[in-house]
Amino acid sequence: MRFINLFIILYVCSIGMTVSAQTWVVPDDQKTVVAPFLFTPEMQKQGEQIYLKNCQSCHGLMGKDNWAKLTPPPGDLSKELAQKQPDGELFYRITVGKAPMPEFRNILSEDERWWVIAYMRSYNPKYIQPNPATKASFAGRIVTLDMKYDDLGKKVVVTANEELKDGQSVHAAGVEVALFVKRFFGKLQVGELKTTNDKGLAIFEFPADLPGNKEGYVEVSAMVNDPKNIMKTTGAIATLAIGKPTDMPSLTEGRAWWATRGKAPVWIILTYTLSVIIVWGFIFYIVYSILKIRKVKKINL
Amino acid sequence: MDDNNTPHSPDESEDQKNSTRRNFLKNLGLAGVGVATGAAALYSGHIFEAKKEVSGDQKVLLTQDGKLVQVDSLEIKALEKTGEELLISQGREGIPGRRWVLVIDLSKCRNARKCISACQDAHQLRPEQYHVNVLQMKDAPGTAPYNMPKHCQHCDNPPCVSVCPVDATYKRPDGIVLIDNDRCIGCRFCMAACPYSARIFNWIEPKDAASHQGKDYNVELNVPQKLGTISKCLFSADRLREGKLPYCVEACPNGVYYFGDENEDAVTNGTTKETVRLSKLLRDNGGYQLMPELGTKPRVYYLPPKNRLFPFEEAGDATPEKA
Repeated sequence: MRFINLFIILYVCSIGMTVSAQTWVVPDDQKTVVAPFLFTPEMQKQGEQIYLKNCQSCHGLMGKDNWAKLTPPPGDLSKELAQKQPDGELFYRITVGKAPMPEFRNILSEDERWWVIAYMRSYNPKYIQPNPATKASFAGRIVTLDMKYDDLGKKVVVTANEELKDGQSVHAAGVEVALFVKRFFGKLQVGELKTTNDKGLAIFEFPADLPGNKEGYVEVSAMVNDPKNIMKTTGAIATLAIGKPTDMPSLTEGRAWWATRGKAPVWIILTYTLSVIIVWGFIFYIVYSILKIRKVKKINL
Repeated sequence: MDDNNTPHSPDESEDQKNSTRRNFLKNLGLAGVGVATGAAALYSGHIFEAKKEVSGDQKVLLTQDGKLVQVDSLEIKALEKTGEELLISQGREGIPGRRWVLVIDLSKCRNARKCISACQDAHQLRPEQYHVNVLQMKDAPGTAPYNMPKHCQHCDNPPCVSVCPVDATYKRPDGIVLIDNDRCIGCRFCMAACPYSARIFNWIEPKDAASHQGKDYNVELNVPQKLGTISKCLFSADRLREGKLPYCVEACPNGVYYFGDENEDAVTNGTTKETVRLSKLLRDNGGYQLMPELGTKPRVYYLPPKNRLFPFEEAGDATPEKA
């Protein structure tokens, strides 16, 4: 009876897994997206570096079938299941992600994502790249961001401008904007996503306690959130003195029990020196006393 | 006892007093002359040094092939450090302005052991040698078991550094505790002092010793490993120098590790590459340290193993596919 139960559970699980694997549907308009350039061997090499750094921990090495044991299984990207998908579909999956696969929208630039696909395709001898997309044929919105800091309100103001077909530039409303601060290993998002208003403005409150460098400078960047990849966007980047000035002393600066030589605590140095002086002083005193006894003896004779 | 016991007669002491006064005056005179001469010498030396900087005098040096050559002193430059010398000195200095910190989210660890293998590959370790190990824990008979990766805690008050008699293990300004295997004498005091059992000892010839022979020793990688010396987790100091996350952090498939700079108040997840605020992460998830009561001030934080959505399994079959 137990075994039957186990079988039922396993069966249900396997159905669940296949269903969940199938539910990652890519919108039809995304499937037709093509790379903006022809793949070159240099791009494949760049893509390999990015793949090894960001993808290999789950997907394993290409063609080796040594992907990580996860649910749903990540699979080997050189195999048919991945290779039969058009470029646009792969690009969409890399961009958007689906747990446990991370979204690479803010981690890899668009070009970098295409390079990874170029690398993947290098394992498919049957692959023929479709003609690259050109800017002229781009049908979506072309949005450029601009960033300013409002000193009075302590806010970061992002302006979105849209380039129209006739070359005119107008304020872009309804664009989702994300604000990031550069940190050592990546970009830290500040606040939530904001949608630009009628004047093309998105206003972010900047946290006062976010550490900057010694002078309080932080590198702030604004990016358009475009999960469906329907816009051509240019972000804004600026170094502003809006962080909390941070100049923490190095961890070996103070005197410590574990520090060497000159950096030992004063009381240790004093106690040690004093005890050495006392011990040697005592020895010298004894020797001196012995000599004095001899002197007295001589005089007496 | 009679008068003979008195050491000096009154006449003698009077005479001695006089001679002392004379001696004193003589000595004072000598000291005065001495001080004047010394000052003059110092001053002329200063003048000489000052002149040298302007004119640049000629120095006679011995070249590598044994010839004597004359070179202007202004043109003499110290050689740039290269090879092992550079690795040692940069390994002591660290990366300025940083305070590295590791956060381990126990609720996500499924004992995939990718961190262990990545670490062992990087640091030339045998399969039974661990810089990081995943332990299977159970706090009380009634509570659920969980997996706990355990690294060196890179304490801000490191007992291992206190006991090292040869300055082989040391704390860096950026918080990392490292070992210089060239200095290590293998006394293992540090192993005894460490309350986290983070250190290992090369009892036998390290793995692939032959292929690493003659390589420059990198103190930030502990490679080549040396027989009869200590090794331990280094927070992948060599990777941090390149701006990359540590080996274990990058290798984790389950998003367990966050690594970053405390001064920036930000940590980055090795799997999702998402950057979050350190203070918020610790505050929202009840972050804690291992054995803080010892006063070691660890640089590794743990997030409690709450809301685990998978069963506890033994090492190696922690994957649903195999079930």
